[in-house]
Amino acid sequence: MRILDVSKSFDGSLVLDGFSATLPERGIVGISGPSGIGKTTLLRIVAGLEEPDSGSVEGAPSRMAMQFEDDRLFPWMNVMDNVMLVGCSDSRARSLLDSLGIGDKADAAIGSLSGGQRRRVALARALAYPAPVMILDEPTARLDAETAGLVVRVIERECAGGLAIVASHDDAVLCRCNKVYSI
Amino acid sequence: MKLFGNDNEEPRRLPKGVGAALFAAIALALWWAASLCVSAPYILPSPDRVLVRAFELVPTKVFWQAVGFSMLRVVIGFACGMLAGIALAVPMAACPRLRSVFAPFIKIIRTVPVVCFILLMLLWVNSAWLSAIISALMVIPVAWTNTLDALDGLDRGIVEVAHVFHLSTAKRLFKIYLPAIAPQLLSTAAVGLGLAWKSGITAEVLALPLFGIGSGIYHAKIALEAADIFVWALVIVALSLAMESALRALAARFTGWGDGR
Repeated sequence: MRILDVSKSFDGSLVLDGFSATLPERGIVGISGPSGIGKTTLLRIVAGLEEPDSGSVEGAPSRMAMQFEDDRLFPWMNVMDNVMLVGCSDSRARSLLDSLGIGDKADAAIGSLSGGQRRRVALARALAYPAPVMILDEPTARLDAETAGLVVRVIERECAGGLAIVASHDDAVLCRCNKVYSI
Repeated sequence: MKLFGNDNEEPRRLPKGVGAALFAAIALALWWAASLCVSAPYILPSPDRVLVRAFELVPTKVFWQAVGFSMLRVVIGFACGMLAGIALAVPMAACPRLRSVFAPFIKIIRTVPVVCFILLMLLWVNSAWLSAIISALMVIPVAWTNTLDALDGLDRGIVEVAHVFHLSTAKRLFKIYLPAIAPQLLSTAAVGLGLAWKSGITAEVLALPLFGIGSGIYHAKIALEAADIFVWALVIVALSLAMESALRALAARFTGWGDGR
């Protein structure tokens, strides 16, 4: 996948200025940079949720999984139903929740979860979706160091056969990436 | 400058139930006074006379048959109207071009007086089911416009999740979009239910089915039994309020997501 000279501005303010990168088919690619620099915008452009003002993304697969920065879980479904929404089996959903340390919350309501638990449910949903590219926006946000370490290990294991594009401030995540782009 | 109250003060409200009790007391007092002034029970019966008639009517089989059939017709009409309104709104939300095709139909239903529909329908359908059809017809525009507004106002984030994960149309609709707008749908249903009662009973008054509250009202009018009309009106208010409360409780349950339910 190639990101070619992508620029994007909102209301006249330039958020992303001519970003280019060639991404491998496999591995974990990190996107780092301070808040508001355009990491989320770049991920949204790669996912096809935002049109760049100029430049393009070539070779993007039609199926990409995404963990959104703001979780976007559905409060009318419990944890399992949120994860299984993307079409995975019951056992796959349970195994992902177990490996992320929230197996005991499988039947819980979304409203009863803490911020960190919601973050992991959102990650489980993204990982449950079978896609060659995984886009993860701040996967360790709102997590303590120990849980963040667990999450990074799960991401490494689950994305072994494909490409994960991870936007993060967290050094624990960035140091495990095969390549890191700074914006 | 603020005309009423202080900017920093919470508006003072009466304790729950006190307002309704006060309203009932004032209305009863005015009613009583008016009935004494008129002094003609066939024009304006006193509250005690209405109460006596209620005690005479309620134990009768005819009363319960009328209540049962009217309720059945209104509920069926209301349910069909809600379903039809939602079913019309969904494709229009997905395809805005369809709106201009169906918008005149909804405008016609909204603007033409309900009596015109009732008199026309009387020529076409069996009087027993006329009130159900009229109730449905009156509920459709409310359900249609409110569902369309709710779907138009859907959070963009929700739509993006469905897009990214390539969810099927059925999954989008039944697992995401409709549950997301469920609180608005249930509020709409509460409004639609009131409309269904009003229009359904009006239809019964004109269609005179064998059993029905509307038929009861008509026969009371012919017999100059104003007290009976009051009893039937109170029954309609009670039934409508009870069903609306049930719907609102359901709406509160839906909007209560996140309390660990």
